[in-house]
Amino acid sequence: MNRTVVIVVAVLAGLGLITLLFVGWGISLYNRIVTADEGVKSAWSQVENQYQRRFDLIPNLVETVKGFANQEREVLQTVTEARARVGQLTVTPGILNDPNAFANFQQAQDGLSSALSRLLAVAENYPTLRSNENFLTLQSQLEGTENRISVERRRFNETVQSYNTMIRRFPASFVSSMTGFAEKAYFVATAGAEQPPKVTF
Amino acid sequence: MNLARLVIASGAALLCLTAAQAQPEVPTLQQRVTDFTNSLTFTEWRSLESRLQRFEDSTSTQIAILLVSSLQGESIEDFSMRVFEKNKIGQQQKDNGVLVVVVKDDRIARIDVGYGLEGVLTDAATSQIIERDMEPYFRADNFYAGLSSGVSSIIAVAEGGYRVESAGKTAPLVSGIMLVFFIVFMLVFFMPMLAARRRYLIRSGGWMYNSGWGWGSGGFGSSRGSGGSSGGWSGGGGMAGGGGATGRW
Repeated sequence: MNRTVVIVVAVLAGLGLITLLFVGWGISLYNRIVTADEGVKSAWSQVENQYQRRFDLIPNLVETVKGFANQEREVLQTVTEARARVGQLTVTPGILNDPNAFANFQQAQDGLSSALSRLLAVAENYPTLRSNENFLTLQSQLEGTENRISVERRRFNETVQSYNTMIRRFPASFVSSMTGFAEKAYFVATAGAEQPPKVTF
Repeated sequence: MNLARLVIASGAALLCLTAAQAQPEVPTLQQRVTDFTNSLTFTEWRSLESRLQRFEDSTSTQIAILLVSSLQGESIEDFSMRVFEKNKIGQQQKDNGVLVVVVKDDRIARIDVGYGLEGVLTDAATSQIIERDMEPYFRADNFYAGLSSGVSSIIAVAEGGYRVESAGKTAPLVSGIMLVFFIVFMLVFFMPMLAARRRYLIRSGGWMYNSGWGWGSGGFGSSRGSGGSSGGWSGGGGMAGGGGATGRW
């Protein structure tokens, strides 16, 4: 009688301990996934900041170019339209888990990139514009911003890669599928978008 | 049969890998001024180095200069960012680092600015520094004069950015105790690891030592001041996000 009780208690305690260890292990895995998820979000906000910075630079640039090269109406129009398309995007934090929205975002931004590089290429033909102080400042800001975008995009991709790898590997994949952490989308390199617009004098 | 195929396949894969690594290797900077192109005389090198050192001593802002001959087709933005990321120029948290990269044969130069200095050394400012202070001299192949006037401008602009924090903010006793704890902690936890790592380093021998040097056309012995007075310099943990400017001459 007494021995049975002892055995039962011991077995229960053992089971309890194992459950506790298991739950603890699950929680720590979950926390690591949460940390990685937050890392992706902060990398994303860096990307967004830089895109926003570019978005804010454009009206000034367009105005300045207009003053010197108004006949390039078509190119200026393309930039304005591409910018408007970017402005129409509603970017919610959910974009990271929505491959379609992410692809749309990238497409709109890449469209703006190529429109801008065309504008800067056209500006080459106007010596007075090229020697305008205001234009030179805007141009260097724009080039710097394009470079920042490509840096932050690369860092974002690296963060997403380690996050995706983490949630897909075996023990963590178990936890992530239970708690609803999904794979996130990458930026894909497109011709012309990766390179900041180059202007040679 | 199968094994032979495997060997051939992995051999091919290895070849592909080496072919893909056409990117120039990123050097570990051990001085503030690193010249792989033999463009600076020893005196010129020392003058730049000591000016940068004085500036770093008074403001903690780290400025590093790297001269290489060619990037073998890689873009200067990618290369300089890799150099920045590897060497972590600038102080941790402050991110007050500046990297000047001059690619002599490609006739292109870039200034990269750490996050913490982006407010003062703006893209427009760096672009002007390259164009007005550096390029005219570079065109005449006078790299010392270009770097010297570029450094003057960078220092003038970055001067307002940071100050060296006065030492001893925490009470010395507290920090002393912290230090003791830290050392004990390090000894207990990291000694076994260190021992294991040292064994590894010895095994892989000279290769590890060479990795910072065997690069570019200059190669091992040509880097100025490799045994110089301020050897052992390294970046302080700063980060950059691609701010700065590029110029051609």
